[in-house]
Amino acid sequence: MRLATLILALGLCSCGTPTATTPSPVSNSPQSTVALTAKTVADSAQAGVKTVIALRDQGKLSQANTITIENWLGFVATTDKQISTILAKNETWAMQKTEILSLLGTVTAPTLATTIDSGAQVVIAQIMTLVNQIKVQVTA
Amino acid sequence: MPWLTLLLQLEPAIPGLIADFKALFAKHPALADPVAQTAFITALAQASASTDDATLALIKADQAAHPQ
Repeated sequence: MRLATLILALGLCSCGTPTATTPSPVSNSPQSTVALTAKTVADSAQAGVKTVIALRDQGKLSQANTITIENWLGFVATTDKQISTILAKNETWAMQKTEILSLLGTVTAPTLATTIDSGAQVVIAQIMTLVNQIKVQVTA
Repeated sequence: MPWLTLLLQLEPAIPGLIADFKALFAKHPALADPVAQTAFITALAQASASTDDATLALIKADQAAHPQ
């Protein structure tokens, strides 16, 4: 499956209009690394919302805690969207780094009882791990 | 670079495609030129924003259906 995917990607790459000049090789940029992690955050936040809804529907999570976590995931999604906007801007990486770090400083785990369902705790822990991963990527 | 957008659209159906593409950049540096990377980041940012919008809509719909 992975090989097929790579073959597909290579095939698609070869379909573009040929360029007049051969681009000079450069290493993978820090922006693309952060952009990939931001996409993972977006996917994880969406999966997290679906998880807490399922837990609530199964009677494993109270409505109050569901709303608290949903609101937090909404905040994460909004912040993630802002990070993507910053990455797409025509600014230097130094400027983008500062803006992203400032945004990430506002993201902290929600205050909830430690007795909430383990599935909900995993959702929060996974998101916080990804947020911290972006912090490391931005400060590296 | 429409093929970049296409790859990102395929990603949900082929989990790991983005990671594979990143590996592709590493193996074939010529693909990782600044222009390609800018297009890649822009397409990725659009995909993230789209997913984030869908997440916010999902939350809004659920909270409307299940008020506290």
